[in-house]
Amino acid sequence: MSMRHALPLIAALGLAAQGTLAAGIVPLTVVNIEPLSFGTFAAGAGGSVAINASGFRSATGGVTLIASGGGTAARFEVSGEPNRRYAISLPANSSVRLASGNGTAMELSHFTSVPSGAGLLNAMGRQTISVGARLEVGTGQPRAIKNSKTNFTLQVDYE
Amino acid sequence: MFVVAAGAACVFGGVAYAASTDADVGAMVVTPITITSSTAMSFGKFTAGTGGTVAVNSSGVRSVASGNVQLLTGTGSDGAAAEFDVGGEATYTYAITLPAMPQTLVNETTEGSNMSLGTFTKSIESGTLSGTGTQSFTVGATLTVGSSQAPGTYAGMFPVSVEYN
Repeated sequence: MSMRHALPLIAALGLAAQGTLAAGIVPLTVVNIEPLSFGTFAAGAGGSVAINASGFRSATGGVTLIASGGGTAARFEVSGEPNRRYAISLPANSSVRLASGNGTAMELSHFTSVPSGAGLLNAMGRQTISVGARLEVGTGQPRAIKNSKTNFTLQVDYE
Repeated sequence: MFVVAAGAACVFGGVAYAASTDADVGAMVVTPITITSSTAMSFGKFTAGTGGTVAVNSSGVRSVASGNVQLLTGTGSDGAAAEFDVGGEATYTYAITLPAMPQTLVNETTEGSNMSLGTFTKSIESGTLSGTGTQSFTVGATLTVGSSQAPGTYAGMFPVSVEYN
């Protein structure tokens, strides 16, 4: 009669789990650390306000920027596998709208990011993404009693 | 028989290859700043003498700054400071820009002579709109009168601009 030498089921799973975790994939995560803000401005005859991914603000048309009224690019921290490439997905033009008091909603478009299109996590498995966009401001856009707010979604995918 | 295959399948489940998050978007739309002129600047009536300069301060008080210009007094002779009304977003502060270059007043009674208007002054250094989004301020200046300045009514305009800080 032969004897079977087999490890109990649980112990076998434990050994297998240790071996497999060492080769496992670090999950991809992204957190928002800075909102996108177009700052303070007067609408005048209308036009647009843009924030680029470096946080630089500019206006076109009749929009007057209030110099002390700031504006920030959105920033996100991505973490995952060291040295791994990932794709960056930004919202399509006109898919995000900012309601303004009793006025017409202002559309966001031309989302841009640094890095653009895809990123590369560093040796620590991290990278920061900065995002800017353009806001369309209507003629005589009425003043808002408080800051207008909405949000947008940033998606990242391992390639 | 080891059960490695089953164990491996359990460990690989639930790993995130994609992730997404939301970011807030904000903007603050404010009332545009406006400025209108409510009172014209005036140097009133005077005789040129051998010339000089006449100043109107931001309170509308005239003085002979140099030379021997003779100021006439009485109803209709007095000077006035220019007054401006500013409107915009309540409590906001703004800068006031006066002309840096002299402006020209032209004789409207008899063609061919001018006087130069310069050294503009203002009643407030910079502005702060009230709780109802308004403020007024006044502006004075100095007029240069020539030694044979032709008599007449002289008129002109000067620009003043305001800008949110």
